[in-house]
Amino acid sequence: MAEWYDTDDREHFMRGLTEVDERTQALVGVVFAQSGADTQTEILSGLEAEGRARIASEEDAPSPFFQQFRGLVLSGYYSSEIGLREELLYQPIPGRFDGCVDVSEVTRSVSDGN
Amino acid sequence: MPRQEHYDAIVVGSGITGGWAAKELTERGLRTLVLEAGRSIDPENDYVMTTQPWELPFRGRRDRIKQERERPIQRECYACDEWSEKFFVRDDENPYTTEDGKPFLWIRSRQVGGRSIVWGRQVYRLSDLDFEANARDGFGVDWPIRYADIEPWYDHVERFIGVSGQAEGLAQLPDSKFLPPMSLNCAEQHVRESLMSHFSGERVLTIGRCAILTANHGGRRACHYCGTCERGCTTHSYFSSLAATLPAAAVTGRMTLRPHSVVHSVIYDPTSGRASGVRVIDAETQETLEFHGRVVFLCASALESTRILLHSATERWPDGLANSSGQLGHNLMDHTMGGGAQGNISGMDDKWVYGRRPNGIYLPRFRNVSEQHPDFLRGYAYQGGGSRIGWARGNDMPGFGADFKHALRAPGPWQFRFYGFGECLPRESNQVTLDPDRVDAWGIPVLNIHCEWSDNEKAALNDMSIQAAEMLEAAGASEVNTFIEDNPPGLTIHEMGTARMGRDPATSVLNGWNQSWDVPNLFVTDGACMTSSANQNPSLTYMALTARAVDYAVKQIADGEL
Repeated sequence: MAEWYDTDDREHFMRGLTEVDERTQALVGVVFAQSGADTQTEILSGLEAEGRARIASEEDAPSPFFQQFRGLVLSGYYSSEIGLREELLYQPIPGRFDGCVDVSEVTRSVSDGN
Repeated sequence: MPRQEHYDAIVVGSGITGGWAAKELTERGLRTLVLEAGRSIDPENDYVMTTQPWELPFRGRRDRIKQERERPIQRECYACDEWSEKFFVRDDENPYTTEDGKPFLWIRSRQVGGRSIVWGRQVYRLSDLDFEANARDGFGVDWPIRYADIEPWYDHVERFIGVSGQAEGLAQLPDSKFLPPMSLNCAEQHVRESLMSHFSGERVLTIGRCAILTANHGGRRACHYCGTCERGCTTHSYFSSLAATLPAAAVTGRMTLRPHSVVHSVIYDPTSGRASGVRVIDAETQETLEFHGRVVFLCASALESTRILLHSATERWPDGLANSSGQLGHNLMDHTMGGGAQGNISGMDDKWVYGRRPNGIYLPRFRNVSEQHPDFLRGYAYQGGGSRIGWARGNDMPGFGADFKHALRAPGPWQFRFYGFGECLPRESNQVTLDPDRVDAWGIPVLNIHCEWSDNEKAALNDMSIQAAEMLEAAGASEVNTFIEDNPPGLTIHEMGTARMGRDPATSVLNGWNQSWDVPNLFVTDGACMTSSANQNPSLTYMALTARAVDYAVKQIADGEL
């Protein structure tokens, strides 16, 4: 966050993070991390829907907080050792290329270019 | 008096053409000095093929702040990423200037192996459609050679480097000496068959022709399909000078390879009328050195070779050595890229690929082959291909949580993309000059680069996108979207011209043997020599011209002419 984002993206992200807690406080009186799974799902669903609406209505809008956060989670998880080795099909050296195999032979999404 | 050393031949540059010059010269018995501006590369330590994203500080997303500081231009190249940025120059040490609002992106490497370590590896022959192009429509001067002159040298180069591909028998894209082709994937096979029938064989989608081994070849191993060649290949499965030509030259015992040798200028001897050698600045000590040779081959990359000549001005040629024609620095070209379309292909969701093929499709030029298009001259070709996106599509998908994660285990829909690369007309106004006000980290004047696309390039780019959509629709694709990217010249990294070959010393810098009209023992065999750009990836042609020029030079020496 400190070394990769520029100032605008970083502030946008931090503001979004604070807002998640504020919304949860207003709804159930505790911060997001202390609220239960149902509340968390409700908060995130709301944020996602608002984000999608904004992406649809504004052409050059900065990525809304939920989408920004989820993008970081995706690239962080799928570039981690556990994400690559266990969640995805780990093929560092496939050894051959076959352009048309049954999906059942591959079973898991392979990493995109890593 | 600087220290002096004598050789039979001097080669400036160790990249894709320098390696070929070194190999061919030493194999013909010449003691050859190869000068490289950058450092040595040791594949064992420098190649990062097996480095995993979790081992990098930014997980492969690059250190943005460092790149902004050190490589604000180089980072525009896809390959200049967190793994491979070290294979690109630092822009702060290697500046150049352009006019405001007229950018040119000059993507460069300085290292033993040059850009052949990170090149795109696509190799296509030019045909007489290309060699006759200037004569036909009057842009630029006529090429001094035709396909028949270069054909045996394409054969020679291809047999050594190893080219995988599929013979198609097309006049506008002659077949190479092929190793077995990589396979098309299911979507690509479907699009190939659809286009064959819809366009009656006029538009042929074939597998990319690439300098990547599909079988063990010449002591190098077949590709293992890890998919990220630009990180360096420890099995040497793609061709680079470091993996193939430089080792062949070293085996002769006649090559001296000197890294950290920044060539300052070519030394001209007015008494003999020849180049007596080159002046070098040692990049580590800043010491000035001189090396002497019977022939000098400039293989430093198009713009670096021209920069050296511009900086070697003499009393006789105040605007750059060997510049009687006044054409040195002019007729700069690059290929346009980024007109195209993409769409989804349905009906094969139960199929996928195994392995990561470091290659895509190629759809050769079909415009202005048999009839003249009303809007533009010359042509374009497509690269691209079919794929199914993995987890990255999660960014555009609704949802989160466990179901979301499980959905991303399956691949997304088959997508197909045509991405065009177009020919650039040679124009005198696109040119490089020395900037009188600025020097690089070694005190050598930098280039001022002036290059703009003309209406002809823009019209072809527009047609690329229209035709791409038409072909996707012919193949039954859905959700077809067209695009026309606004890429500045340079970014295709096919910069060429500025010391063109020709038939007339009054209008060209080099003759039909890549030999300077003015200084007979001086040869320029990199992209600087190109008389027109064609639309094919050019490195194969540079290699063939280099081998051909060496053969000629050595025969001239044997005959006492040089």
